[in-house]
Amino acid sequence: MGYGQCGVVSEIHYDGPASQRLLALGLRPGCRLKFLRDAPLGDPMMLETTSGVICLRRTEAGLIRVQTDP
Amino acid sequence: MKSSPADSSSPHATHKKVQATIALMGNPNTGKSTLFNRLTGSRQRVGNYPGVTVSKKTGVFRMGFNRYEVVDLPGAYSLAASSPDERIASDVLIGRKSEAPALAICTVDATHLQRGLFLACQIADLGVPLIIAVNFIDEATAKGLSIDTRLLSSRLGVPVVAISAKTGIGLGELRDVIKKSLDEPARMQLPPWSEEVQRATEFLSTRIPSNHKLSDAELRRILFDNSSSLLDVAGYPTADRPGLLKETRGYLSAIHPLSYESHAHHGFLEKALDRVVIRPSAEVAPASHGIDRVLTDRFFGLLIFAALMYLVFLSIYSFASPAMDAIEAGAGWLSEVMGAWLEPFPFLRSLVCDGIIAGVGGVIVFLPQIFLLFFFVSLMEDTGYMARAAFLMDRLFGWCGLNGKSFVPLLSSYACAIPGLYATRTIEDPKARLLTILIAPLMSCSARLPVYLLMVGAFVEPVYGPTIAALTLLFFHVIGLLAALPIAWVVNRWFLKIPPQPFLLEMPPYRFPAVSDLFWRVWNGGKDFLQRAGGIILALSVIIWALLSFPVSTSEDPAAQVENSYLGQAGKALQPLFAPAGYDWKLTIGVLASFPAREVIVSTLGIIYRLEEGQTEDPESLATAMKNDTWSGGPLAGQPVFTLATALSIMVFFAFCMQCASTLAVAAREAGTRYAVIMFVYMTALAWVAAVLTFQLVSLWI
Repeated sequence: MGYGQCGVVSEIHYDGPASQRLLALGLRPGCRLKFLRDAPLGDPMMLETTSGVICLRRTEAGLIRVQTDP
Repeated sequence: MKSSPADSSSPHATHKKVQATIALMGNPNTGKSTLFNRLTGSRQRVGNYPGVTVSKKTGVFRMGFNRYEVVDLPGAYSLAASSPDERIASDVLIGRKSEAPALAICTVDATHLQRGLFLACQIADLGVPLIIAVNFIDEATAKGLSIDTRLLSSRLGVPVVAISAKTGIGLGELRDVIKKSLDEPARMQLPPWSEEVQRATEFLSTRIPSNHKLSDAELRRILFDNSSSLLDVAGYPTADRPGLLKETRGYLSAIHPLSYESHAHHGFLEKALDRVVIRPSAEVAPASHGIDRVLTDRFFGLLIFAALMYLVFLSIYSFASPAMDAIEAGAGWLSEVMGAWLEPFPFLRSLVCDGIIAGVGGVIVFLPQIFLLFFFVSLMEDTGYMARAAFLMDRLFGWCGLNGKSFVPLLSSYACAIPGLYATRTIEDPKARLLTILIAPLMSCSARLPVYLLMVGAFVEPVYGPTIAALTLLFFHVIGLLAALPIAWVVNRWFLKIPPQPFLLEMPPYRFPAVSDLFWRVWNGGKDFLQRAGGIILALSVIIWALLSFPVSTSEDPAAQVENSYLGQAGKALQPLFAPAGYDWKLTIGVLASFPAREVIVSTLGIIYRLEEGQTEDPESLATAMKNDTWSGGPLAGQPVFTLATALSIMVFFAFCMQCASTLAVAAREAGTRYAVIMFVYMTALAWVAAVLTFQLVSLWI
């Protein structure tokens, strides 16, 4: 996703504790996301979701499939 | 209607005492601790859960003539535990290892109701009576949100109270509700579980040995959790668990098993929350977003961060000094007074003055730094800045198994490792926390400075000039950090078997912390240090004193006393071990004596080199004495002991060696004795190897 882009979560790849954590934090298919920024060295990234702002590493972010808004 | 009650019978039915346990649960950042402080005030206690390094926070809540124990469980997003914090929350609630609570209060952020209520659903499934406390209602109102707690309460079947723990709104109502709930417990009505789940739990119950009966709710926890500790309770062999879980989850076909619980509860919650929250027509962008744009900006964010860190570091390094000096002066004064009083009993006098008072003073002297550190860390955490700091720094640390939260503890360790170790409590990931603890003492602490200054001043500056001397000093400060990260990587890769936690952090909105909260954290931090580490440090100080004072020498000469003591004899005996690093027996004694505390080497060397009374602290005269010293025997007889090689070798040794009894004591408390021992061994070994290498290489080269 590009900076400031919005999207909707279409799918989460379920794979152990990381995905469970994502779910527990409120990220589910159908949830809206906005990519706010990333850290100075590129990782981790900050996302705005319907349940607040979270930050996650790119490896965990890779578990989320997003349908970006045009 | 579902949910059979949790296994343990209600505590106050069989208890003779008028006491029940109330569990306080909720997501992190929901003001749970503030509520806890409000309910229990000063009647708090920090203890330990057996076998785990998670602290157990309990307090007493009084209502009329009744006293209730409130347990502040660690913040958790889900009972499907992915961290020891969440595991503890789950264990306590299920009530297998200790009594189940009579009541659970679940704190929920008013601005994120649905997410917080997920945990409440899980609690409810276990059959624990529940009260929902919707916190930060003042913030919600300010945003224009209105929450219909009555509607929600009727839909869920449990009391819902809107509060603001910080300002006190709603707390009176909460107390009333607690009283009512203890008399007439209310349980949340969850929709029945699907057939698939029922079949899965039936299957599971057939596989569990019959003498370990588990309730349906507990079976469901095994089904949904990553690796539920309930399987331990059931006595199920560890090796067979993956297979069992896979088979059981095979019964859940409609949706992916891992998302089942989330899907079920969120579906219920969406309906329950319909029309409960009324949002204003135009939503204002929260102030936090604007602040974040600056604070996490690539350039300014880092700049501000660096400035703040510098402030924290400076305060621990310097601002604490006046208080520390005052404490040392106080200890010194007390020592003199006792010394004069005990004049006729030289042995007792030495024990009291040099052993006990020095030991106790050595413990108390750390308090100013600890208070300051707890203050800053609590401030950063409560305002929400800590999460941003971790966000900024994570890349630096992630590659070796640490995470961004390690930055503040490691930085603090540059002033003194003891407050640094306490700062590691902010790291939830147990693996990252342990790793940080293991490498924190490598950060060049302020106690190493006298040694560096002595060596550099005596051996580097006269020959190479002030610029090189300054650079050398800088080098030795940095060398710890440069070595620490690769070491962390190695330990992470080859030794630590704990699975790492995903780095997934919530960025809470910026908030003003409650001053009383800060006060309690700082106070409890200092108290914890005195109670736990204090005892060990004192004991070690007395032991070292004993080693230096026995056997009592016949001569008046303090140097002879040191030489003939057990420690001195050990020094002479171990000298061959240190010969490859270039130390003679005097230096070896100095090194050994400094194991409890680094700075001791300067005064010990002063004594050994037979300096006059007033000159033992004077680096110039000590340096001169050292430079003139020659080897008395062995292969290098006649040559000067202190060459550049030796000086560098000593500095390297001190840079890497674990020579601080106090740090070890705190490490034992924070990470367990086993790891404290490991820390000691690996650092000492590393120091020795590095010192030997330095000496040999520099000798060849110069």
